[in-house]
Amino acid sequence: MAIVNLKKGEVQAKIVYYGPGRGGKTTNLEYLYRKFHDRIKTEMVTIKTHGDRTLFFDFLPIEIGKIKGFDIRIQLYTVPGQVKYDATRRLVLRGADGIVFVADSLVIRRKENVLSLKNLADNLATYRKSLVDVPIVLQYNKRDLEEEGIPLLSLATLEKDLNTQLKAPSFAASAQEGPNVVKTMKKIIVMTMDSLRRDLM
Amino acid sequence: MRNDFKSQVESRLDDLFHDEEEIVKPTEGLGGFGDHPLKTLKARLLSVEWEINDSSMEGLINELKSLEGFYQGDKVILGFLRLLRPVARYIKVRKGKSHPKATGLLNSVYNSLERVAVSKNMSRKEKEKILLQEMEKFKKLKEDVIRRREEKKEVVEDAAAAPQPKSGAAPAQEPAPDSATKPSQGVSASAVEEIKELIREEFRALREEVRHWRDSR
Repeated sequence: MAIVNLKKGEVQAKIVYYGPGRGGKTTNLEYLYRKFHDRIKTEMVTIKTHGDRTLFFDFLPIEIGKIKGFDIRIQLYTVPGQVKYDATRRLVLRGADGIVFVADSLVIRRKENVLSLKNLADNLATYRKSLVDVPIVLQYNKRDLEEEGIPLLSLATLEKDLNTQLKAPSFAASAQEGPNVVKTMKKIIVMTMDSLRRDLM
Repeated sequence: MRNDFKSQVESRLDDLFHDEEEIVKPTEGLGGFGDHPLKTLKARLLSVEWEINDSSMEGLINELKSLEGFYQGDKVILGFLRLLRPVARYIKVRKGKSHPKATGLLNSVYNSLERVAVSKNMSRKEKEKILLQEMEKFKKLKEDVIRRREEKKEVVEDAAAAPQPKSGAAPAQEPAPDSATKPSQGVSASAVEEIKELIREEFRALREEVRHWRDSR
């Protein structure tokens, strides 16, 4: 749930990057931080295990500036993708105003994508929400691996598996190389802010 | 009003993040690596993670076995594959408790293997040199793993040598997860330790969340 401080004229929205382990959630945030650090002027907080995996979450705050008299702040979070950290995932998901689901395009990760999306729905249900209640953008990550000859799921398959019912905006992306990482983020911010608009105006 | 607000958000975002926007081509075919025999191995390795499950590791090990058959005639490639298999088996068994450098070694050996397998102009001597470098890394990891195991054992022995708690009091130290003397105790101690660690992690996450919530107020 966004924090709206009418007195101070501040709005803070929380966007969570969700998806299967090793799908590229942290890489998305790292790309944004690396590329736009000078402009967003904030620090990225990341807590990893010795195996370079997200243990708790990554956190990247972004100051958008004043719009309609409100200072808009966006907080980007990632959840740990590993199956065993479900409680942490649920915790990070609490109060999310928008979600980016980062799917792994590798053929052999097809099942994990579907399970992770189901896990997202289950965890939202604990907060009495469903996937259609929260603005969501799908990102089909690791498309760059196609050039290396790695078997990837076709975009049509990913759409069929994950987006048949949701009909959410989706992007083929490469968090490693950058294409569509910013586009994904922009889209979810616009959708989230649009859905919060009623609280603002 | 609505469109006005939305367009203001969009324009602000364009100002902040303006110089990126290359679209990934949604092609369906396979490029570069084509039908190379190592293609599946690479995909399997890319999916190897700390959230290792038996089926993904089994898939990797089976792929290595099948490649060993395929590369019977090439001793250098075979050498790389035979380095990968024990590391994969070790990670499969130890999972999240594997030595932190184990997955790194898996990637390093594979990268060298790919270099050697794909290169057309590399001499046999050069290939052997790369293999030897990877073998050195493997040896080093093996030594580190053994040293780590020995250090754990010493901690347990020290704890055992310490004065025993009074009857009914809690034991001073959990048995080591690798305890070989009583496997069932070792396994349950390891499970308890894992649960404890999980609870600790969850609490840490909770504290962090509270801290962020406070900071954001």
